[in-house]
Amino acid sequence: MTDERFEADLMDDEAFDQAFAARFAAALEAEGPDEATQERMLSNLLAAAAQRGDATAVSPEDADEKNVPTSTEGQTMVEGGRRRRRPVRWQAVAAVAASLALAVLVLRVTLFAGPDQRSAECASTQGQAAEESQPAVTLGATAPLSSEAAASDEAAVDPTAYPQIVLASGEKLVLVEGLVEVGESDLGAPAGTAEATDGTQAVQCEVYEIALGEHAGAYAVRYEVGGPLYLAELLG
Amino acid sequence: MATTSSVDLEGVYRQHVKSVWRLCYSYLGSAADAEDATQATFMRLVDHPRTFEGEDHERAWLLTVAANVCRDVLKSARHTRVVAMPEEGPEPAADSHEGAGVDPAEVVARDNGESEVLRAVRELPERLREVVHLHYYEGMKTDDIARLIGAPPSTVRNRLRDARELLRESLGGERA
Repeated sequence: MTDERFEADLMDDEAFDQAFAARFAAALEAEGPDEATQERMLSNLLAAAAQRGDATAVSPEDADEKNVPTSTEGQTMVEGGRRRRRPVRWQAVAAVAASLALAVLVLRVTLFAGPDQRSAECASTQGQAAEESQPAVTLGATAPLSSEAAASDEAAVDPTAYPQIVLASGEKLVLVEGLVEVGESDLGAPAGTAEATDGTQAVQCEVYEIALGEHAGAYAVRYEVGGPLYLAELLG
Repeated sequence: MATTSSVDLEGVYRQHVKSVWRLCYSYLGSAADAEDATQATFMRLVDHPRTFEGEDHERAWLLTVAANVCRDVLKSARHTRVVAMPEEGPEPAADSHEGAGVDPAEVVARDNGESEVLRAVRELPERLREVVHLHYYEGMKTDDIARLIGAPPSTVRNRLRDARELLRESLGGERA
């Protein structure tokens, strides 16, 4: 359906559309948020930001030099949330998820990485990577995939903020809703490095074809070094 | 070009909090859940300070994150359980004035005196609800919605067409 055709369809019943839009807007605006709610949310937000070392004062340019908020520090928001009228759920969930992700990452490095790779990773974090003989960039390797990931080990890229992936070939993928994780054992050939974008900004990511399992034929996207793989599908 | 400073955070919040909250409310149908999701959305900004190219980019980013947060909430165990219970239990709940197969969230909305229009939107499938909000409330063009949700423009137009038909049906002969 073309845009012109769609607009023409709308014109067929413009009265419905206008009336619906007006009623929808009025109904939504009647629901809120009221001033008290807005102020409460702002208060929680600013408290959380302050408890994270005023992380919001870190500009993207400075982020390479400073530690942007850590996952464990997210628990402080729970404390901020105690002032709210309802029990806080999402902060606790986010903190647990971040802790689990960190634990998995540590296990990967300590249990599964070979001695050479482990030493390369250590060297990399100490800024000595250039002087070392680095292993090739493979699954779980240490080469930075995005500037955000490189900025800090703890500044994870939020995949949901960059749902569109553009391969070097020009093909486009879209991140499957709900962040479906893919196991490395199901991976096939690498499709190469791609750009994941929110429509205006982009980060680098790695893309693999999925060869085995229930998602065979789809793609897996890794947003950060050592990070999880998420299911993506070809757009269109 | 603005960066997310501690001063800007409040400014960005005040500028967009209503849009974000209302998108979340359209998705979730609960003021409390919308509040949680709104805070989660702005916390992403705290966690990942970034540069925006302008107000439109700022708004698009926040709405994208808010939509993703809401999808995650809807897929959480609590929401899944709320919707699934009537289907699992063949007998009507003893304390319910509604029979099995009725979405409890709908009953709650009705009991709360929620607007018929909002209820009609909430009864839409999730993929339609999103485009309805962005098009009818945010006033976004289909191409802009397509970029925001990562779907082809034709898909957005088809979803809007389907949504209009369903809304017409659910809102009856009153023509919205």
